[in-house]
Amino acid sequence: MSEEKTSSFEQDLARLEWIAGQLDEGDLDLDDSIKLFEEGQKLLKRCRDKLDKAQVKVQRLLESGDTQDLDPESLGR
Amino acid sequence: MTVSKDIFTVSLLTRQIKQTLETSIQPFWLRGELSGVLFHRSGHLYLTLKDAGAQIAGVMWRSKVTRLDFRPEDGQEVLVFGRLVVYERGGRYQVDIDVIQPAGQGALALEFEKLKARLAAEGLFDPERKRPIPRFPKRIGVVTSPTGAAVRDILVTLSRRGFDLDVLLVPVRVQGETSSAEIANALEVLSEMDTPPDLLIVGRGGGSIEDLWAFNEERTVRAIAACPIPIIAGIGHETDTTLSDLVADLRAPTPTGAAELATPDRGEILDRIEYQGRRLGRSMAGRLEGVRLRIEAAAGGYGIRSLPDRLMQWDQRLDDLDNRNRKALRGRLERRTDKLVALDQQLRALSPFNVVKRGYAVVRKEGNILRDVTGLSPGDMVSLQLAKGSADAEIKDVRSPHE
Repeated sequence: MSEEKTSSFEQDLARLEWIAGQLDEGDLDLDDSIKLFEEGQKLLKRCRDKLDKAQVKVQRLLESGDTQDLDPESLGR
Repeated sequence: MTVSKDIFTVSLLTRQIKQTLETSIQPFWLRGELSGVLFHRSGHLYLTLKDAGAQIAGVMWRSKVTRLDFRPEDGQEVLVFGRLVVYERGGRYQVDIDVIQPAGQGALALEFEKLKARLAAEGLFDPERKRPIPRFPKRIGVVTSPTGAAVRDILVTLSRRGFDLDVLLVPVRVQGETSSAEIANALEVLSEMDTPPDLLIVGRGGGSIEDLWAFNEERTVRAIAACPIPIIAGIGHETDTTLSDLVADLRAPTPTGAAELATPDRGEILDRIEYQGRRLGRSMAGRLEGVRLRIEAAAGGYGIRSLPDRLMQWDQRLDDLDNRNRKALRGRLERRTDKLVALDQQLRALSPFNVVKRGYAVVRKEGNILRDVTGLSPGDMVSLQLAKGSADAEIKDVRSPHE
């Protein structure tokens, strides 16, 4: 299981929070501030994009090991 | 006439019988057929338990009778849990009953308790074994029956709450003889996938203890314990506790509850992100303000319009950030108006364009901006730069912050 892939949202959010904290309180010169701010803006966009991508893909595992798309609403009726 | 010590009184003998019986026979489970069931006016329950060869009287006191979850009747086969007591006044022995269960259900309950004790002794239910549930799972495996309300509840809830999420349903039978093997197999298949899920939900709708039995079987419980992926159990209703619930890393009261615990609340996360966005903008504005003052000082108070291009562009970007924030938050403005207006004002107030307009003055001595009173003495001349115009002033008194 790839660590990067599974927790990147969490990592992005943690990094964003850290950056905002550094800009708030840290003793940085202007260049470092700008670098961090730019990184923070990128992270902000990435986090928002992921949240906006609200669709959840639902699949069903078949006996063959393949998967098949599934509509949750159609189940259990 | 003397009374020999060898001659008992009735009371003494009975007391000795009582002590002997009550201390030598430990509390026990007893199986038998009910007869002479009598709910007395007092609230106590009197009955006789019998089998082909013997019978024994039993009594259940009122406080326990009120907790009975079925109504005992003559002819029923039951399991009772209790202890033997001797009723001295009546010269009778009887069972003081704590629990009565229909025999079928009772047998399962016994098995449940035995397995639970054995697995607990192995440490399978220890809190230290629980693995943390990922806060933002990207891939969730769902092990449940493909029919029935539970699967729909779980998948619909995941779809509603989740973001950037793949859900993989592995259909299994959740009842019957093959069930525990199917569940164990599903967990194995999921953990051996090329891209295994980072979180699993094992679920089933409500039912009787017999219906839920697959989740009390040792095979199921061990498979959950052995699975390398964290598992949330959502089995039956709130009041049902299966061994699978106990061994899972997190227990949800229902299948829907399991899906809720598996996914972060989107609204909450959005709040967190937007808060960081506002913080980012505010902090950067504050820093630029500091830089602006230094530049102005260096330029001899030339004024805001003369700022280098780079800073002007930054002002623009901060304004953009502010706009995006407000757009994203518009949906929640109604219930958050006060807070937002305050934050919005704060952000605007900090905007570098407004720094001097807010009523601050930049104080300089010989062209250098003053940040503290060090090196300042009465009689020194300073200049004050205001939003509109400037003035010269003479220092009359100096107070350091420590005084």
